[in-house]
Amino acid sequence: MDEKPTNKSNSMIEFESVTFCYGARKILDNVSVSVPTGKITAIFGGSGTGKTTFLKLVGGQLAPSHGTVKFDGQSIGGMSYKQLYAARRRMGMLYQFGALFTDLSVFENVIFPLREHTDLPEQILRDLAIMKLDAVGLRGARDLMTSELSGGMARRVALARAIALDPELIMYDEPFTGLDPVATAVIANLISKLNDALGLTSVLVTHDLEVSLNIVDYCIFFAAGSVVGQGTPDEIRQSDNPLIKQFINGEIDGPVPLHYPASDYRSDLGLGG
Amino acid sequence: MFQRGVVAIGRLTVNGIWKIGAGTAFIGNVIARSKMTFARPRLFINEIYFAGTLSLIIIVVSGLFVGLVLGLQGYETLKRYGSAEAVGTLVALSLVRELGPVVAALLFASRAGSAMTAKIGIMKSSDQLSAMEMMAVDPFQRVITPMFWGGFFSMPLLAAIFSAMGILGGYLITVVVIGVDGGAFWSQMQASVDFQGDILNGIYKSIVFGFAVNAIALFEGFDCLPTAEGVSRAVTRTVVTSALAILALDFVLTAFMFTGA
Ligand SMILES: Nc1ncnc2c1ncn2[C@@H]1O[C@H](COP(=O)(O)OP(=O)(O)O)[C@@H](O)[C@H]1O
Ligand SMILES: [Mg+2]
Repeated sequence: MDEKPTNKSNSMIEFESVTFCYGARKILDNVSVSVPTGKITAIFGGSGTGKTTFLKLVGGQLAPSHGTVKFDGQSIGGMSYKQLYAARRRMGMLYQFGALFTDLSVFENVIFPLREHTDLPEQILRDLAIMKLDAVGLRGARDLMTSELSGGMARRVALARAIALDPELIMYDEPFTGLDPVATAVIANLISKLNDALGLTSVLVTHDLEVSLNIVDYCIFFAAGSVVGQGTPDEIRQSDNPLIKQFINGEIDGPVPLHYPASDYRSDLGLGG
Repeated sequence: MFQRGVVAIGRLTVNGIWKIGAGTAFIGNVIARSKMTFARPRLFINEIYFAGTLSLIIIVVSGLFVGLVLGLQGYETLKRYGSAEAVGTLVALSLVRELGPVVAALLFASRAGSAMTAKIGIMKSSDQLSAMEMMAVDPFQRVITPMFWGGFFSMPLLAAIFSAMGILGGYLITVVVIGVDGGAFWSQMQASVDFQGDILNGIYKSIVFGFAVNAIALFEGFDCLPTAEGVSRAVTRTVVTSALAILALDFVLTAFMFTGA
Protein backbone atom coordinates (compact mmCIF):
# COMPACT_ATOMS: atom_id res chain seq x y z
CA MET A 1 0.00 0.00 0.00
CA ASP A 2 2.87 2.31 0.81
CA GLU A 3 4.13 3.55 -2.51
CA LYS A 4 5.51 6.86 -1.36
CA PRO A 5 9.18 6.70 -0.46
CA THR A 6 8.83 8.44 2.90
CA ASN A 7 9.81 6.87 6.16
CA LYS A 8 6.20 6.55 7.19
CA SER A 9 5.09 5.24 10.49
CA ASN A 10 2.42 2.58 10.52
CA SER A 11 0.00 5.01 12.08
CA MET A 12 -0.82 8.18 10.24
CA ILE A 13 -2.61 9.58 13.28
CA GLU A 14 -1.91 8.78 16.91
CA PHE A 15 -3.78 10.08 19.93
CA GLU A 16 -1.90 9.54 23.18
CA SER A 17 -4.15 9.99 26.21
CA VAL A 18 -5.80 13.04 24.69
CA THR A 19 -8.27 15.03 26.75
CA PHE A 20 -10.09 17.96 25.26
CA CYS A 21 -12.40 20.36 27.07
CA TYR A 22 -14.61 23.24 26.03
CA GLY A 23 -14.44 25.30 29.19
CA ALA A 24 -15.27 22.91 32.00
CA ARG A 25 -16.94 20.39 29.70
CA LYS A 26 -14.89 17.36 28.77
CA ILE A 27 -15.49 16.44 25.13
CA LEU A 28 -12.75 13.84 24.76
CA ASP A 29 -11.62 12.02 27.88
CA ASN A 30 -8.22 10.39 27.84
CA VAL A 31 -8.50 9.01 24.32
CA SER A 32 -5.72 6.83 22.92
CA VAL A 33 -6.24 5.54 19.38
CA SER A 34 -4.30 5.28 16.21
CA VAL A 35 -5.34 5.40 12.58
CA PRO A 36 -3.42 2.99 10.33
CA THR A 37 -1.61 4.39 7.30
CA GLY A 38 -3.01 3.54 3.90
CA LYS A 39 -6.37 2.31 5.16
CA ILE A 40 -9.87 3.69 5.46
CA THR A 41 -10.75 4.07 9.10
CA ALA A 42 -14.27 4.86 10.21
CA ILE A 43 -15.04 6.79 13.35
CA PHE A 44 -18.54 6.09 14.57
CA GLY A 45 -20.42 7.90 17.27
CA GLY A 46 -23.69 9.66 17.95
CA SER A 47 -24.20 13.36 17.46
CA GLY A 48 -22.16 15.50 19.81
CA THR A 49 -19.74 12.77 20.84
CA GLY A 50 -16.74 14.75 19.65
CA LYS A 51 -16.15 13.38 16.15
CA THR A 52 -15.65 16.76 14.53
CA THR A 53 -13.53 17.75 17.51
CA PHE A 54 -11.35 14.71 16.80
CA LEU A 55 -10.76 15.88 13.23
CA LYS A 56 -10.01 19.44 14.31
CA LEU A 57 -7.43 18.14 16.75
CA VAL A 58 -5.73 16.29 13.91
CA GLY A 59 -5.72 19.44 11.78
CA GLY A 60 -4.29 21.45 14.64
CA GLN A 61 -7.30 23.78 14.65
CA LEU A 62 -7.87 22.82 18.26
CA ALA A 63 -5.20 21.93 20.78
CA PRO A 64 -5.70 19.15 23.34
CA SER A 65 -6.00 20.10 26.99
CA HIS A 66 -3.83 17.11 27.86
CA GLY A 67 -2.01 14.50 25.83
CA THR A 68 -0.41 14.43 22.41
CA VAL A 69 -1.81 14.27 18.90
CA LYS A 70 0.65 12.96 16.36
CA PHE A 71 0.45 13.22 12.60
CA ASP A 72 2.79 10.86 10.78
CA GLY A 73 4.89 10.47 13.88
CA GLN A 74 5.19 14.20 14.65
CA SER A 75 3.44 15.90 17.51
CA ILE A 76 1.04 18.56 16.19
CA GLY A 77 1.30 20.53 19.41
CA GLY A 78 5.08 20.77 19.09
CA MET A 79 4.98 22.28 15.60
CA SER A 80 5.70 25.89 14.75
CA TYR A 81 3.19 27.86 12.70
CA LYS A 82 5.23 27.06 9.56
CA GLN A 83 5.48 23.36 10.32
CA LEU A 84 1.77 23.18 11.06
CA TYR A 85 0.94 24.77 7.73
CA ALA A 86 3.36 22.40 6.01
CA ALA A 87 1.63 19.46 7.72
CA ARG A 88 -1.78 20.73 6.65
CA ARG A 89 -0.68 20.70 3.04
CA ARG A 90 -0.45 16.94 3.43
CA MET A 91 -4.03 16.73 4.71
CA GLY A 92 -7.33 17.17 2.96
CA MET A 93 -10.60 17.73 4.80
CA LEU A 94 -14.08 17.28 3.45
CA TYR A 95 -16.55 19.30 5.48
CA GLN A 96 -20.03 18.17 6.26
CA PHE A 97 -21.66 20.57 3.80
CA GLY A 98 -18.68 21.05 1.53
CA ALA A 99 -17.65 24.51 2.74
CA LEU A 100 -17.17 25.61 -0.86
CA PHE A 101 -16.31 29.25 -1.43
CA THR A 102 -19.64 30.74 -2.37
CA ASP A 103 -18.20 33.63 -4.34
CA LEU A 104 -16.22 31.37 -6.67
CA SER A 105 -17.26 29.01 -9.46
CA VAL A 106 -16.77 25.26 -9.22
CA PHE A 107 -13.62 25.51 -11.28
CA GLU A 108 -12.15 28.35 -9.20
CA ASN A 109 -12.92 26.43 -6.02
CA VAL A 110 -10.95 23.41 -7.17
CA ILE A 111 -8.08 25.50 -8.44
CA PHE A 112 -7.92 27.62 -5.28
CA PRO A 113 -5.39 25.59 -3.24
CA LEU A 114 -3.18 25.20 -6.31
CA ARG A 115 -3.21 28.92 -7.01
CA GLU A 116 -2.32 29.66 -3.41
CA HIS A 117 0.51 27.17 -3.13
CA THR A 118 2.09 26.94 -6.55
CA ASP A 119 3.37 29.25 -9.26
CA LEU A 120 2.26 26.95 -12.05
CA PRO A 121 1.19 28.59 -15.29
CA GLU A 122 -2.54 29.08 -15.80
CA GLN A 123 -2.76 26.38 -18.48
CA ILE A 124 -1.35 23.70 -16.18
CA LEU A 125 -3.54 24.79 -13.29
CA ARG A 126 -6.50 24.48 -15.59
CA ASP A 127 -5.56 20.97 -16.67
CA LEU A 128 -4.97 19.89 -13.08
CA ALA A 129 -8.35 21.24 -11.97
CA ILE A 130 -10.05 19.45 -14.84
CA MET A 131 -8.35 16.20 -13.88
CA LYS A 132 -9.44 16.55 -10.25
CA LEU A 133 -13.00 17.32 -11.33
CA ASP A 134 -12.97 14.36 -13.65
CA ALA A 135 -11.93 12.12 -10.77
CA VAL A 136 -15.19 12.99 -9.01
CA GLY A 137 -17.22 12.86 -12.23
CA LEU A 138 -17.96 16.57 -12.44
CA ARG A 139 -15.77 17.73 -15.28
CA GLY A 140 -18.86 19.01 -17.06
CA ALA A 141 -19.96 21.12 -14.12
CA ARG A 142 -16.88 23.31 -13.92
CA ASP A 143 -18.54 26.53 -14.97
CA LEU A 144 -21.43 26.28 -12.52
CA MET A 145 -21.60 28.49 -9.46
CA THR A 146 -21.69 26.72 -6.12
CA SER A 147 -25.30 27.80 -5.57
CA GLU A 148 -26.32 25.72 -8.57
CA LEU A 149 -25.06 22.45 -7.11
CA SER A 150 -27.06 19.77 -5.34
CA GLY A 151 -25.85 18.60 -1.93
CA GLY A 152 -24.14 15.53 -3.35
CA MET A 153 -22.47 17.50 -6.14
CA ALA A 154 -21.24 20.15 -3.72
CA ARG A 155 -19.57 17.47 -1.67
CA ARG A 156 -17.94 15.97 -4.73
CA VAL A 157 -16.61 19.38 -5.76
CA ALA A 158 -15.29 19.83 -2.23
CA LEU A 159 -13.67 16.43 -2.56
CA ALA A 160 -11.98 17.47 -5.79
CA ARG A 161 -10.71 20.56 -3.98
CA ALA A 162 -9.53 18.49 -1.02
CA ILE A 163 -7.41 16.27 -3.27
CA ALA A 164 -6.07 19.18 -5.32
CA LEU A 165 -2.79 19.26 -3.40
CA ASP A 166 -2.38 15.46 -3.52
CA PRO A 167 -2.71 14.94 0.24
CA GLU A 168 -1.60 11.82 2.06
CA LEU A 169 -4.42 11.96 4.56
CA ILE A 170 -8.00 12.83 3.85
CA MET A 171 -10.66 13.33 6.48
CA TYR A 172 -14.37 13.16 5.77
CA ASP A 173 -16.73 14.77 8.24
CA GLU A 174 -20.10 13.07 7.92
CA PRO A 175 -20.01 12.89 4.13
CA PHE A 176 -23.37 11.09 3.84
CA THR A 177 -25.55 13.35 5.95
CA GLY A 178 -28.59 14.58 4.10
CA LEU A 179 -27.92 12.72 0.87
CA ASP A 180 -30.29 10.40 -0.97
CA PRO A 181 -29.28 6.72 -1.26
CA VAL A 182 -27.85 7.12 -4.75
CA ALA A 183 -25.73 10.13 -3.88
CA THR A 184 -24.61 8.31 -0.73
CA ALA A 185 -23.48 5.32 -2.77
CA VAL A 186 -21.66 7.61 -5.20
CA ILE A 187 -19.71 9.28 -2.41
CA ALA A 188 -18.97 5.97 -0.68
CA ASN A 189 -17.68 4.57 -3.92
CA LEU A 190 -15.50 7.64 -4.48
CA ILE A 191 -14.02 7.43 -1.00
CA SER A 192 -13.06 3.85 -1.56
CA LYS A 193 -11.75 4.41 -5.10
CA LEU A 194 -9.70 7.47 -4.24
CA ASN A 195 -8.12 5.76 -1.28
CA ASP A 196 -6.79 3.00 -3.48
CA ALA A 197 -5.96 5.08 -6.54
CA LEU A 198 -4.09 7.81 -4.68
CA GLY A 199 -2.56 5.68 -1.93
CA LEU A 200 -4.27 7.77 0.74
CA THR A 201 -5.05 7.29 4.36
CA SER A 202 -8.70 8.07 4.93
CA VAL A 203 -10.63 8.89 8.05
CA LEU A 204 -14.35 8.67 7.69
CA VAL A 205 -16.44 10.21 10.45
CA THR A 206 -20.02 9.12 10.22
CA HIS A 207 -23.03 7.64 11.90
CA ASP A 208 -24.10 5.80 8.81
CA LEU A 209 -23.01 2.30 9.73
CA GLU A 210 -24.65 0.37 6.93
CA VAL A 211 -22.90 2.11 4.05
CA SER A 212 -19.59 2.54 5.82
CA LEU A 213 -18.98 -1.00 7.01
CA ASN A 214 -18.76 -2.07 3.37
CA ILE A 215 -15.94 0.27 2.44
CA VAL A 216 -13.81 0.69 5.56
CA ASP A 217 -10.90 -1.39 6.81
CA TYR A 218 -11.06 -0.44 10.45
CA CYS A 219 -13.65 1.03 12.84
CA ILE A 220 -13.40 3.07 16.00
CA PHE A 221 -16.46 3.70 18.18
CA PHE A 222 -16.81 6.86 20.23
CA ALA A 223 -19.34 7.37 22.99
CA ALA A 224 -19.43 9.98 25.70
CA GLY A 225 -15.93 11.18 24.88
CA SER A 226 -14.20 7.81 25.02
CA VAL A 227 -13.36 5.03 22.66
CA VAL A 228 -15.73 2.21 23.50
CA GLY A 229 -14.68 -0.28 20.88
CA GLN A 230 -12.62 -0.81 17.78
CA GLY A 231 -11.90 -3.48 15.21
CA THR A 232 -12.39 -4.61 11.64
CA PRO A 233 -15.89 -4.45 10.17
CA ASP A 234 -16.34 -8.20 10.72
CA GLU A 235 -15.35 -7.95 14.34
CA ILE A 236 -17.76 -5.05 14.74
CA ARG A 237 -20.64 -6.97 13.21
CA GLN A 238 -20.03 -9.84 15.61
CA SER A 239 -19.41 -7.65 18.62
CA ASP A 240 -21.46 -8.23 21.75
CA ASN A 241 -20.50 -4.87 23.21
CA PRO A 242 -23.90 -3.41 24.16
CA LEU A 243 -22.92 0.10 23.04
CA ILE A 244 -21.95 -1.09 19.58
CA LYS A 245 -25.02 -3.28 19.36
CA GLN A 246 -27.24 -0.36 20.20
CA PHE A 247 -25.61 1.61 17.42
CA ILE A 248 -25.87 -1.19 14.86
CA ASN A 249 -29.47 -1.97 15.62
CA GLY A 250 -30.54 1.63 16.05
CA GLU A 251 -32.19 1.06 19.41
CA ILE A 252 -33.58 4.18 20.97
CA ASP A 253 -32.53 3.67 24.53
CA GLY A 254 -29.64 1.58 25.71
CA PRO A 255 -26.26 2.25 27.20
CA VAL A 256 -26.37 5.54 25.29
CA PRO A 257 -29.29 7.13 27.09
CA LEU A 258 -32.12 8.83 25.24
CA HIS A 259 -32.52 11.38 27.99
CA TYR A 260 -30.19 14.23 28.67
CA PRO A 261 -29.32 14.12 32.39
CA ALA A 262 -32.20 15.78 34.26
CA SER A 263 -33.73 16.03 37.67
CA ASP A 264 -36.47 13.63 38.68
CA TYR A 265 -39.39 13.75 36.23
CA ARG A 266 -42.10 13.63 38.90
CA SER A 267 -40.62 16.45 40.92
CA ASP A 268 -40.11 18.48 37.73
CA LEU A 269 -43.85 18.27 37.10
CA GLY A 270 -44.50 19.38 40.67
CA LEU A 271 -45.94 16.02 41.70
CA GLY A 272 -43.60 15.64 44.63
CA GLY A 273 -41.33 12.70 44.70
CA MET B 1 -33.04 41.68 42.88
CA PHE B 2 -30.22 44.01 43.85
CA GLN B 3 -27.81 41.12 43.73
CA ARG B 4 -28.97 40.17 40.29
CA GLY B 5 -28.38 43.71 39.10
CA VAL B 6 -24.85 43.69 40.41
CA VAL B 7 -24.18 40.36 38.75
CA ALA B 8 -25.54 41.66 35.45
CA ILE B 9 -23.40 44.80 35.62
CA GLY B 10 -20.36 42.73 36.49
CA ARG B 11 -20.97 40.36 33.61
CA LEU B 12 -21.45 43.22 31.14
CA THR B 13 -18.22 44.83 32.33
CA VAL B 14 -16.22 41.62 32.10
CA ASN B 15 -17.65 40.81 28.66
CA GLY B 16 -16.94 44.34 27.51
CA ILE B 17 -13.36 44.25 28.67
CA TRP B 18 -12.88 40.80 27.22
CA LYS B 19 -14.21 42.00 23.89
CA ILE B 20 -11.98 45.07 23.81
CA GLY B 21 -8.99 42.82 24.50
CA ALA B 22 -9.99 40.31 21.83
CA GLY B 23 -10.65 43.11 19.36
CA THR B 24 -7.26 44.67 19.98
CA ALA B 25 -5.53 41.32 19.56
CA PHE B 26 -7.52 40.82 16.36
CA ILE B 27 -6.39 44.12 14.88
CA GLY B 28 -2.82 43.46 15.95
CA ASN B 29 -3.05 40.19 14.07
CA VAL B 30 -4.46 41.86 10.97
CA ILE B 31 -1.64 44.36 10.87
CA ALA B 32 1.05 41.81 11.67
CA ARG B 33 -0.10 39.56 8.82
CA SER B 34 -0.44 42.24 6.17
CA LYS B 35 2.52 41.22 4.06
CA MET B 36 0.59 39.11 1.60
CA THR B 37 -1.88 41.92 0.95
CA PHE B 38 0.84 44.19 -0.32
CA ALA B 39 2.77 41.44 -2.06
CA ARG B 40 -0.38 40.63 -4.02
CA PRO B 41 -1.94 44.03 -4.73
CA ARG B 42 -4.72 42.40 -6.72
CA LEU B 43 -6.18 41.05 -3.51
CA PHE B 44 -6.72 44.41 -2.01
CA ILE B 45 -7.55 46.24 -5.20
CA ASN B 46 -10.45 43.80 -5.45
CA GLU B 47 -11.48 44.80 -1.95
CA ILE B 48 -11.22 48.52 -2.70
CA TYR B 49 -13.51 47.80 -5.60
CA PHE B 50 -15.86 45.79 -3.33
CA ALA B 51 -16.01 48.43 -0.58
CA GLY B 52 -15.92 51.36 -2.99
CA THR B 53 -18.56 50.26 -5.47
CA LEU B 54 -20.85 49.15 -2.68
CA SER B 55 -20.76 52.60 -1.15
CA LEU B 56 -20.31 54.86 -4.15
CA ILE B 57 -23.94 55.43 -5.13
CA ILE B 58 -25.12 56.12 -1.62
CA ILE B 59 -22.16 58.45 -0.99
CA VAL B 60 -22.74 60.43 -4.18
CA VAL B 61 -26.48 60.81 -3.71
CA SER B 62 -26.29 61.61 0.00
CA GLY B 63 -23.45 64.07 -0.55
CA LEU B 64 -25.50 65.90 -3.13
CA PHE B 65 -28.55 66.15 -0.89
CA VAL B 66 -26.58 67.20 2.17
CA GLY B 67 -25.00 69.95 0.03
CA LEU B 68 -28.41 71.09 -1.21
CA VAL B 69 -29.72 71.37 2.34
CA LEU B 70 -26.58 73.09 3.61
CA GLY B 71 -26.82 75.60 0.77
CA LEU B 72 -30.47 76.36 1.50
CA GLN B 73 -30.09 76.66 5.26
CA GLY B 74 -26.83 78.60 5.01
CA TYR B 75 -28.26 81.02 2.48
CA GLU B 76 -31.41 81.69 4.55
CA THR B 77 -29.32 82.44 7.65
CA LEU B 78 -26.48 84.44 6.03
CA LYS B 79 -28.93 86.53 4.02
CA ARG B 80 -30.14 88.11 7.28
CA TYR B 81 -26.68 89.48 7.86
CA GLY B 82 -26.26 90.57 4.28
CA SER B 83 -23.45 88.14 3.56
CA ALA B 84 -25.11 85.60 1.31
CA GLU B 85 -21.91 85.17 -0.75
CA ALA B 86 -20.24 83.57 2.28
CA VAL B 87 -22.50 80.56 1.78
CA GLY B 88 -19.75 78.92 -0.28
CA THR B 89 -17.41 79.13 2.72
CA LEU B 90 -20.01 77.75 5.05
CA VAL B 91 -20.87 74.82 2.83
CA ALA B 92 -17.24 73.93 2.17
CA LEU B 93 -16.07 74.22 5.76
CA SER B 94 -18.97 72.22 7.16
CA LEU B 95 -18.29 69.50 4.65
CA VAL B 96 -14.55 69.12 4.72
CA ARG B 97 -14.23 69.54 8.48
CA GLU B 98 -17.21 67.57 9.73
CA LEU B 99 -19.95 66.29 7.51
CA GLY B 100 -17.77 64.78 4.82
CA PRO B 101 -15.75 62.49 7.09
CA VAL B 102 -18.54 61.79 9.59
CA VAL B 103 -21.51 61.19 7.31
CA ALA B 104 -19.43 59.31 4.76
CA ALA B 105 -18.14 57.05 7.54
CA LEU B 106 -21.66 56.45 8.87
CA LEU B 107 -22.85 55.55 5.39
CA PHE B 108 -19.79 53.38 4.79
CA ALA B 109 -20.42 51.50 8.03
CA SER B 110 -24.01 50.76 7.19
CA ARG B 111 -23.33 49.81 3.59
CA ALA B 112 -19.86 48.31 3.25
CA GLY B 113 -19.18 47.57 6.94
CA SER B 114 -22.32 45.52 7.36
CA ALA B 115 -21.57 43.66 4.14
CA MET B 116 -18.07 42.83 5.39
CA THR B 117 -19.41 41.51 8.68
CA ALA B 118 -21.98 39.40 6.87
CA LYS B 119 -19.41 38.04 4.44
CA ILE B 120 -16.92 37.02 7.12
CA GLY B 121 -19.71 35.72 9.36
CA ILE B 122 -21.14 33.56 6.60
CA MET B 123 -17.70 32.28 5.66
CA LYS B 124 -17.19 31.35 9.29
CA SER B 125 -20.55 29.71 9.85
CA SER B 126 -20.33 27.68 6.65
CA ASP B 127 -16.82 26.47 7.54
CA GLN B 128 -15.20 28.32 4.64
CA LEU B 129 -12.60 29.95 6.89
CA SER B 130 -11.88 26.66 8.58
CA ALA B 131 -11.62 24.91 5.21
CA MET B 132 -9.11 27.52 4.09
CA GLU B 133 -7.04 26.86 7.18
CA MET B 134 -7.04 23.16 6.42
CA MET B 135 -5.79 23.94 2.91
CA ALA B 136 -2.84 25.58 4.65
CA VAL B 137 -4.04 29.01 3.54
CA ASP B 138 -4.22 31.53 6.36
CA PRO B 139 -7.67 33.14 6.22
CA PHE B 140 -6.28 36.20 7.96
CA GLN B 141 -3.80 36.85 5.20
CA ARG B 142 -5.98 35.72 2.35
CA VAL B 143 -9.38 37.18 3.27
CA ILE B 144 -9.46 39.43 6.29
CA THR B 145 -6.36 41.57 5.86
CA PRO B 146 -7.04 42.53 2.23
CA MET B 147 -10.59 43.48 3.21
CA PHE B 148 -9.25 45.63 6.01
CA TRP B 149 -6.80 47.54 3.85
CA GLY B 150 -9.23 47.81 0.96
CA GLY B 151 -11.80 49.41 3.24
CA PHE B 152 -9.16 51.51 4.94
CA PHE B 153 -8.01 53.09 1.69
CA SER B 154 -11.54 53.52 0.39
CA MET B 155 -12.74 55.57 3.32
CA PRO B 156 -10.80 58.84 2.70
CA LEU B 157 -11.60 58.63 -1.01
CA LEU B 158 -15.28 58.22 -0.28
CA ALA B 159 -15.22 61.09 2.21
CA ALA B 160 -13.57 63.30 -0.42
CA ILE B 161 -16.20 62.35 -2.98
CA PHE B 162 -18.91 63.07 -0.43
CA SER B 163 -17.50 66.55 0.23
CA ALA B 164 -17.08 67.30 -3.45
CA MET B 165 -20.66 66.26 -4.20
CA GLY B 166 -21.86 68.34 -1.26
CA ILE B 167 -20.08 71.44 -2.54
CA LEU B 168 -21.57 70.80 -5.96
CA GLY B 169 -25.01 70.55 -4.33
CA GLY B 170 -24.45 73.81 -2.45
CA TYR B 171 -23.38 75.48 -5.67
CA LEU B 172 -26.40 74.22 -7.57
CA ILE B 173 -28.95 75.41 -5.05
CA THR B 174 -27.43 78.79 -4.18
CA VAL B 175 -25.79 79.93 -7.41
CA VAL B 176 -27.81 78.19 -10.11
CA VAL B 177 -31.24 78.15 -8.47
CA ILE B 178 -31.27 81.07 -6.03
CA GLY B 179 -28.90 83.33 -7.96
CA VAL B 180 -26.05 84.04 -5.54
CA ASP B 181 -23.03 85.41 -7.39
CA GLY B 182 -20.94 82.48 -8.61
CA GLY B 183 -17.62 84.32 -8.58
CA ALA B 184 -18.12 85.36 -4.95
CA PHE B 185 -19.22 81.82 -4.01
CA TRP B 186 -15.98 80.27 -5.26
CA SER B 187 -13.54 83.03 -4.35
CA GLN B 188 -14.72 83.34 -0.76
CA MET B 189 -14.52 79.59 -0.42
CA GLN B 190 -11.02 79.55 -1.85
CA ALA B 191 -9.89 82.35 0.44
CA SER B 192 -11.15 80.86 3.66
CA VAL B 193 -10.68 77.11 3.36
CA ASP B 194 -7.19 76.28 4.55
CA PHE B 195 -5.47 73.24 3.08
CA GLN B 196 -3.59 72.27 6.21
CA GLY B 197 -6.12 73.27 8.84
CA ASP B 198 -9.31 72.19 7.14
CA ILE B 199 -8.77 69.77 4.31
CA LEU B 200 -5.91 67.75 5.80
CA ASN B 201 -7.59 67.56 9.19
CA GLY B 202 -10.73 66.29 7.48
CA ILE B 203 -8.68 63.63 5.74
CA TYR B 204 -7.04 62.59 9.01
CA LYS B 205 -10.48 62.20 10.50
CA SER B 206 -11.65 59.93 7.73
CA ILE B 207 -8.49 57.85 8.06
CA VAL B 208 -9.22 57.32 11.75
CA PHE B 209 -12.86 56.52 11.05
CA GLY B 210 -11.85 54.15 8.28
CA PHE B 211 -9.57 52.29 10.64
CA ALA B 212 -12.26 52.06 13.32
CA VAL B 213 -15.14 51.02 11.05
CA ASN B 214 -13.18 48.36 9.18
CA ALA B 215 -11.71 46.98 12.39
CA ILE B 216 -15.15 46.78 14.01
CA ALA B 217 -16.82 45.26 10.94
CA LEU B 218 -14.21 42.54 10.46
CA PHE B 219 -13.92 41.74 14.15
CA GLU B 220 -17.67 41.39 14.55
CA GLY B 221 -17.79 39.06 11.56
CA PHE B 222 -14.90 37.00 12.82
CA ASP B 223 -16.22 36.90 16.37
CA CYS B 224 -19.87 36.05 15.57
CA LEU B 225 -21.61 32.91 16.71
CA PRO B 226 -21.47 30.62 13.69
CA THR B 227 -25.22 30.48 13.13
CA ALA B 228 -27.68 32.45 10.99
CA GLU B 229 -28.84 34.36 14.03
CA GLY B 230 -25.29 34.98 15.17
CA VAL B 231 -24.42 36.55 11.81
CA SER B 232 -27.47 38.81 11.78
CA ARG B 233 -26.71 40.00 15.30
CA ALA B 234 -23.13 40.70 14.37
CA VAL B 235 -24.26 42.84 11.43
CA THR B 236 -26.47 44.89 13.73
CA ARG B 237 -23.62 45.30 16.20
CA THR B 238 -21.32 46.49 13.42
CA VAL B 239 -23.68 49.30 12.45
CA VAL B 240 -24.41 50.38 16.02
CA THR B 241 -20.87 50.15 17.36
CA SER B 242 -19.43 51.88 14.31
CA ALA B 243 -21.86 54.76 14.60
CA LEU B 244 -21.02 55.26 18.26
CA ALA B 245 -17.30 54.98 17.60
CA ILE B 246 -17.42 57.47 14.73
CA LEU B 247 -19.31 60.08 16.74
CA ALA B 248 -17.19 59.68 19.85
CA LEU B 249 -13.94 59.76 17.89
CA ASP B 250 -15.16 62.79 15.99
CA PHE B 251 -15.65 64.68 19.22
CA VAL B 252 -12.17 63.78 20.46
CA LEU B 253 -10.50 64.61 17.16
CA THR B 254 -12.38 67.88 16.78
CA ALA B 255 -11.37 68.90 20.27
CA PHE B 256 -7.72 68.33 19.41
CA MET B 257 -7.77 69.76 15.88
CA PHE B 258 -9.99 72.76 15.88
CA THR B 259 -9.67 74.37 19.28
CA GLY B 260 -7.31 77.25 19.86
CA ALA B 261 -6.77 77.48 16.10
N1 LIG C 1 -17.06 26.05 19.98
C1 LIG C 1 -17.65 25.25 20.91
N2 LIG C 1 -17.81 25.70 22.17
C2 LIG C 1 -18.37 24.91 23.12
N3 LIG C 1 -18.81 23.67 22.89
C3 LIG C 1 -18.68 23.16 21.64
C4 LIG C 1 -18.09 23.93 20.59
N4 LIG C 1 -18.09 23.16 19.47
C5 LIG C 1 -18.65 21.99 19.82
N5 LIG C 1 -19.00 21.98 21.11
C6 LIG C 1 -19.60 20.85 21.84
O1 LIG C 1 -18.71 19.78 21.78
C7 LIG C 1 -19.41 18.55 21.59
C8 LIG C 1 -18.75 17.77 20.50
O2 LIG C 1 -18.88 18.47 19.29
P1 LIG C 1 -18.53 17.83 17.89
O3 LIG C 1 -17.13 17.34 17.94
O4 LIG C 1 -18.88 18.82 16.87
O5 LIG C 1 -19.54 16.60 17.86
P2 LIG C 1 -19.90 15.64 16.64
O6 LIG C 1 -19.14 16.09 15.45
O7 LIG C 1 -19.55 14.27 17.11
O8 LIG C 1 -21.38 15.75 16.44
C9 LIG C 1 -20.84 18.90 21.29
O9 LIG C 1 -21.63 18.48 22.36
C10 LIG C 1 -20.87 20.40 21.16
O10 LIG C 1 -21.99 20.90 21.82
MG1 LIG D 1 -19.70 16.91 13.67
